[in-house]
Amino acid sequence: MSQLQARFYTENPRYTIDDVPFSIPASSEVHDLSNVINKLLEAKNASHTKVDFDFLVRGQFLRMPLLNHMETEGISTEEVVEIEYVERITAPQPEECMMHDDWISSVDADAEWILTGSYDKTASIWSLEGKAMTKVVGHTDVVKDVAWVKRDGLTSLLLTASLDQTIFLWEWNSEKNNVVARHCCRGHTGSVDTVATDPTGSKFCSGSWDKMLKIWSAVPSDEGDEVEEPADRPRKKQKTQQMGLTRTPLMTLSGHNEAISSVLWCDNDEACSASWDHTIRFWDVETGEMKTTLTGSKVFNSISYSPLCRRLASGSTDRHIRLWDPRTKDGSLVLLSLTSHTGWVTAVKWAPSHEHQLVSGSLDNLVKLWDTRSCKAPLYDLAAHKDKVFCVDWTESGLMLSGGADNKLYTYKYSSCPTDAGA
Amino acid sequence: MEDTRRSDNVDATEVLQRTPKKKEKTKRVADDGEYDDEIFSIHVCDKEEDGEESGSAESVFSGLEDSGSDSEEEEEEEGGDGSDKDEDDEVEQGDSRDDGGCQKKEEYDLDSSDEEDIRNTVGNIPMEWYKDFPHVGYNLDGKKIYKPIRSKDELEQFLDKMENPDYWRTVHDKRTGSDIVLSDEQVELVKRLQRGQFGDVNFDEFQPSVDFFTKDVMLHPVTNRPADKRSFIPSLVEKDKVSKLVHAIKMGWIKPRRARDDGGGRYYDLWSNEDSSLAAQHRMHLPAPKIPLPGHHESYNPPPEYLFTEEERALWEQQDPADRKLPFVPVKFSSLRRVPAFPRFIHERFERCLDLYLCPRQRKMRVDVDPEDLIPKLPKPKDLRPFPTTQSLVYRGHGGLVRSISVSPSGQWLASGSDDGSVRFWEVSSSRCVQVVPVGGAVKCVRWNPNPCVCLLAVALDSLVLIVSPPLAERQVLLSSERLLAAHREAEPAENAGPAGWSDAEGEERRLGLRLKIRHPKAVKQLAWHAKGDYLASVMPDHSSHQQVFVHQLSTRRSQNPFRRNKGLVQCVSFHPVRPYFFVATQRNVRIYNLAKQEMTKKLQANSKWISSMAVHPGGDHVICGSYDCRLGWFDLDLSTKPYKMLRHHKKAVRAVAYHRLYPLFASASDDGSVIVCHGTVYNDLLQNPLIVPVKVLKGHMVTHELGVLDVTFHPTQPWVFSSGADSTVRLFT
Amino acid sequence: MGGLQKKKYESGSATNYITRNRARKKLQLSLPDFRRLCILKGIYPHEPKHKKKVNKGSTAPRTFYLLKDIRFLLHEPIVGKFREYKVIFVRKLKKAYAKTEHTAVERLKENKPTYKLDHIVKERYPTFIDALRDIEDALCMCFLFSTFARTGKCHVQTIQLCRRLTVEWMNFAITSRALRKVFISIKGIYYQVEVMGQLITWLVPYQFSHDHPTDVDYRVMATFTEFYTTLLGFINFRLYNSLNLVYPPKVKLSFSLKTKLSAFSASLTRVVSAAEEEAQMDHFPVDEEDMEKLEEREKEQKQQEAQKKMFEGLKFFLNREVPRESLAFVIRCFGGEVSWDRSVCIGSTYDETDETITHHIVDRPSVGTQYINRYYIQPQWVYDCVNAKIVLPVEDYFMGVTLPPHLSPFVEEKEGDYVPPEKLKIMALQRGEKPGKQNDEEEESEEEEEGDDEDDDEAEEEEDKVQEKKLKKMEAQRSQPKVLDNPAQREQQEKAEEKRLAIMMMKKKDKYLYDKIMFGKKRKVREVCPISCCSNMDFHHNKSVCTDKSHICNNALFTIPALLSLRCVNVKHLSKRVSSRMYRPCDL
Repeated sequence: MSQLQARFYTENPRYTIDDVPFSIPASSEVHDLSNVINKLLEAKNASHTKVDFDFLVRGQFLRMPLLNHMETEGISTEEVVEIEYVERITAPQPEECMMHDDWISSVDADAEWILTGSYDKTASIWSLEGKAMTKVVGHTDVVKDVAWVKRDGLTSLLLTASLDQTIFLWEWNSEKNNVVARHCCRGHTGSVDTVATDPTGSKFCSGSWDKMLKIWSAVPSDEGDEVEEPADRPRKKQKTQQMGLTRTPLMTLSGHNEAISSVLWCDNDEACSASWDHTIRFWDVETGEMKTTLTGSKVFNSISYSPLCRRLASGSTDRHIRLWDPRTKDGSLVLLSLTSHTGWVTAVKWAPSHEHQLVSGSLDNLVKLWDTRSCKAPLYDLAAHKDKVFCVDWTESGLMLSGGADNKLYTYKYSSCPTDAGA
Repeated sequence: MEDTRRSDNVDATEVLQRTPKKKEKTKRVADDGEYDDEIFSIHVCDKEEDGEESGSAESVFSGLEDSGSDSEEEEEEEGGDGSDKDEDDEVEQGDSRDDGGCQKKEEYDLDSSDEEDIRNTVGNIPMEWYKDFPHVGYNLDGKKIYKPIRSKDELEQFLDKMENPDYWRTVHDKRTGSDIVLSDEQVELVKRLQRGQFGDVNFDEFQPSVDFFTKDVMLHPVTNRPADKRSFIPSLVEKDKVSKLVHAIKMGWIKPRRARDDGGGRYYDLWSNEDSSLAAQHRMHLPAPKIPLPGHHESYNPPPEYLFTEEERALWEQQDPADRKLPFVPVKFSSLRRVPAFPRFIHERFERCLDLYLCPRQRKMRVDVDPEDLIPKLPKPKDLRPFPTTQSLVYRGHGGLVRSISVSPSGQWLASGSDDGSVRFWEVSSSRCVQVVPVGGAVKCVRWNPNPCVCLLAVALDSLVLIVSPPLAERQVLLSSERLLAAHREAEPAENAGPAGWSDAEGEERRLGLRLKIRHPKAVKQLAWHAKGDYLASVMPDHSSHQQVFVHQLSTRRSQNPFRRNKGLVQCVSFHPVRPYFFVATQRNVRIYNLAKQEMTKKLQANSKWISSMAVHPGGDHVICGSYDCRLGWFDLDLSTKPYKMLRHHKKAVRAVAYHRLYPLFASASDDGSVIVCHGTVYNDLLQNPLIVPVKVLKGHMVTHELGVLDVTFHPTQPWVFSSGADSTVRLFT
Repeated sequence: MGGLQKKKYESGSATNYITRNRARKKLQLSLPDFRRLCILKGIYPHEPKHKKKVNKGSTAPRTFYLLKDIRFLLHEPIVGKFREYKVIFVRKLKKAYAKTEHTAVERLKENKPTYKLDHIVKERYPTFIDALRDIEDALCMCFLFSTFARTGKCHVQTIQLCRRLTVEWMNFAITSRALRKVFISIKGIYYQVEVMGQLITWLVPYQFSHDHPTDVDYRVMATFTEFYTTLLGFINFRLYNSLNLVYPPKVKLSFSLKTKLSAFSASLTRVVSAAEEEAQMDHFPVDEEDMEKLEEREKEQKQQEAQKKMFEGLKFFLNREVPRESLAFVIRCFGGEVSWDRSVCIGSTYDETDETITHHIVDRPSVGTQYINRYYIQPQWVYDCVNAKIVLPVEDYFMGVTLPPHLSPFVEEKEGDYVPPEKLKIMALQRGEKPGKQNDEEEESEEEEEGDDEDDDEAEEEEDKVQEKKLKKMEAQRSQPKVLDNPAQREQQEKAEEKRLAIMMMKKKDKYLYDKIMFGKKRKVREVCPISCCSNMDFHHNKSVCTDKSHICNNALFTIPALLSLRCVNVKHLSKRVSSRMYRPCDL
């Protein structure tokens, strides 16, 4: 039984132990090590209660016997190994299950409310506890994407993009609980698959099947701006019966050769769009020109950007989740690829409060919680859904949501340790 | 031979000895009287022997050389005592001589007296006859010989006896009546005789006896008989016999006896100078293959697993000896001493001999080939990416087998027609069924209008062709399609609209999206749009009629039957993507018509029994045909009318084939439930033949009652392939 | 068709072949003479490619000879000899007999026409090596004939000659220490010698009187023997010269096989010197070769030298029931001293009571008086030692114990073949895996017993290990489609996929061939090792018939498949064997 020299350290002051190298059996697994740490902590203060720890060797989670891990990572077993230990992330707990009438195409949640878009051409608002507040009815076709714009007090603005090529800007009063369509954004000539509001909430961008990326003003106003269209009879008829004031895009960014599947804002004046033409493009919203292009090999279904680690995560049809560094000028664009799904990855979302964690939903009915420090395997598989998963979301309050083709929206309580959050 | 020669040699010597023996006997029984004579004669005889030796020596040539030679040999060992016998003979003669001077005189006397006696001529008669006569006989002149006067009377005789000392030695001679006084020797002789001794004084009866009956030949013939003349004169008979032999030998008629080689000297260094010149003339010669070396089975004490079990043994016994795997049964013996002789040993050796000289040997060409080498070296599928690899989505909802699918030009929608009498529209990305259009009857074929500016779907169910306009596109597109359908109103409607009847769809159907109905005389099997999206061809397979293919023009709702004559059962048709060509696939071959010139330009022979489907390369220069005999033929129109390549990938009938619009991919769907995606690169320079590499076998569909995958089509923009199967599902592989 | 002037069957293959009868007519020989001629000259029929064409359209079964061969026979002086013999000699002899002229008969018999085969040997084997290559049949035949008794089957002279030649051969083998392998089979004893780099194997029947089968044509065999004796004689001569020995050696021959032994003992004196010079001769050619080949060959050579000297210093005594000739031959081939009871046959150098005897070879459950300082072992030990190239531990072979199986040294297992555990064990011994194997001789037997048994176990264990590894691999492959996390497996699977696809693109002909090969492979695997069905087989051993000219390796074979093929080992046996081994007490 070979021994290894190991030094343990942590950033969590609660669990610090004195920094001396220990000699531990080479074949010790995670729970052995955590037992060791617990012993040490108890030795330090008797009031210590047993905590499960996870261990990182050179920034990689320890998932196998220590020796094997070091062999695979190519770490020499001669000198002292630096092992960081963090509190074990506890498994997310399924909390609510919100039944819908049809498939759930999209979800967006903020601190209080959950907004979901569904294939029954409506969007609905839920409280975090899962209480159905109201339904937003008005689209003539499947609602493809929804987004909160901003909230001041009780009134909040929200967006719904639909397959009927329109985006509605709604205003919702939470206590009166009534929804009014403020604007009907026309201009796309294909189903609008994705919308995203900028951090300030003043603008939003939308991507559509017609390969166009359009920037709209998210500020409600009272006069609909003029839509130039061939005035013919049916057209007028529709116009009369349409609700809300028509709004036209501030800017149209064209460059994609295929349908745009996902858009987001990196910061106030930079939008990012992923498309079926295997590219991710970054746009300067001010000038309206394309800044950079990341070219993948597969169709992108969804992207997500984490300001914490400044990485872009993309879910694509080849079952992989790729992490991109949009800033990098050299080296490989793809920093990491997380492979565990067996179907298209339809949704990815970074943890808003954790730089290492993201959640992904896939057509293989699974929602997976990842930590980039263990790229081999996900931390947890959330197998709640019985059918394809189309959307996931993650709130600051550590609430994960996922909706899919089984008409259910699941919410998971997830307690990420404050220490990591602080990191 | 040696001993035989030796044996007759022996009796030869015996013969030689017997002859002197007889003489010897006769001489022994010679008269008692003449001993001296005897001795003398012996003596003389000895003399003669000496003289004779030379004679015998030269009589070698007289034919009995061997006996002669042999006797010489004998003489060697006899020589010693033979010679000293002669010596002591000499000695005796010596002393007999010195006392025999007087003796000699007397002999003469005796002779004289003999003479006298001989004068009396009466001969040997009893003398008493002359008792009474005065004479006792007659002398030679006949005168009487008178008796001497007997003057003595008894007294005188008595006196005489008394005083005459020699009286006792006086004998009366009867012939001459005279008395003879015996000499001392004579008296002695008489005494010896009376004593019964040998007459001769100096004869010792104890002389060493010479055995004449020895096998060895004496030097001297025992006979004193002088050798006869021929013994020392070479005989002429033998001489000329010898000369004959000599002549024969000289002439080589008589060969010397061959020395029998004991094999020792027979061998020499045969390969002292090795040259391969001889090898050259024997080029056809194959060395015999060696007997294969024995395996463990043949051991007298094999490992137990090599022994036969009962059933193996039974099998072995009832097997024909020719096809037995082992010619013997493995046996195990506890120890070496128990091993018996192998009964068939000689047989096997003999069979080997027969093999060696009776079996035609021939070089069997054997491959020493790594089968991997046989596998053609194709570019790695990896390098040919992208192509669909895994099943991503399943579009469920149909109640019957899905005969046909089609993807909208935008690639957003998928339409599928099924036997459950409905056409369904799916969202490709989410496998969401967005619309169901029930059309009464099993749908044979659905085709999107390839024109992106219109959104129309052609549906074929049994004798109807429906034009459906699903509300799945933007308003402009919908409007344009409406416009296209409504176009004929502006153009004044032609009454003789051709063989097919056109009619608008009303009410409920219209609300469902149906726009037009084109009624055909017979059941429509297949539809094909022209690239522009204005022309639609429909196929009604039928042997009998010439009305198998109609071409409809949507804008001016007119139909026409391009072919006057029936060229065989039409399977499917297709338009050339760019040029005004029209492909018609019958059972055996594909005809290409130039629509502009109204003539047939090419006729491709598919080397297959029954073409099931056909697809035209977007470039328009290549055609693939799937056939019900499991084949897929790739035609290069510029190359030849024969298939450039036949692919037999499928185990069952190929149902559908499809090209990808952008990627160099084509797929074939078969009843074995698999879709095979091949990479077919078409190069622009005509010299380079297309490179066809199968890249993926996609399995997913269940084979339900002998039907597997019924239709296959590619996504217009992505390297994805859709397949619809008899298991009433549509699947997307990405 | 070329019209009238060009007749059929007057050109091309039809003219290259000639039927047997026509050949006989051409040579004017009777069938037996023709046969003899063919045998002596080594002419054999040929199978034309287009039989019908050659056969002038008829499909009657005929044997064809190459016209060239027959023409070649035409100029053979032997043919004249045959005629002379037939016409002149036989006829005259008949006449003489009829006239009862015994002298004439004598004379005729004395100079009856004979013929020499030297030139035929020379022309059939232009070089000595050719002859040496083809000597195996000759040896087998001569050894067979040398065991014949004085029956009417063949001439006494022939038998005698065969005896002499075989003795000379064995004598040479002893002198040059050429023996490599021995195998006691149920047919007889196979010996394999290495002469001038040629491996020569021959089979000697057991010393029993043959019951001569009736359905064997002894004239044919006699003819062969006639040729073979000539060949063997010349070869012996050459070989003896190569060893600077005088030929023919002074071995007194008579009708008793004892003299062979005496011959051996006589030749023992010469062994040493000859062996030496041969050894040092070997060293020169090695130097020219590149390094690793050199050293591995040196190793090989060292091993061989060791093997040659294997029995040196050991004194054997053969009990009267063991096969004396074979054992004496083998033992002396490896430098051992051997003797036997002088009452059994002559040539025994020391007798049983000799104290220096180390091994006493017996083949009976027990002997009366045992001497302490020698092993009483069964004959198989000697042979197994030879095959193992080392002096094996004796205890498996003690008097009366059940012998371990005697394996054929001629099979070398390819990868994926079934290897009997005994072989594994012996290989382990060769690798020197059992320390203290040298001083085994001094140890007591029961220690030997267990030591050997544990070794046996380990052999077994490693076998088991191999099997379970294989099984694991199998099930891994089975479970591949499910688990894809392992990149290696995915790699593997992709490979397989690619291959499958590529196979689909093969040409029809290649496909056919490929399928055949694969089928053969599968069957072989199925047969050979059913329990350890190894998936990684290399195809290079695997041959199958093909018309493709590109891959041709020269090996002729009879079109009549008179040849053996490997039999399969099937599962139940092994299970049986394993169970039986488990019952053995030593295995716990």
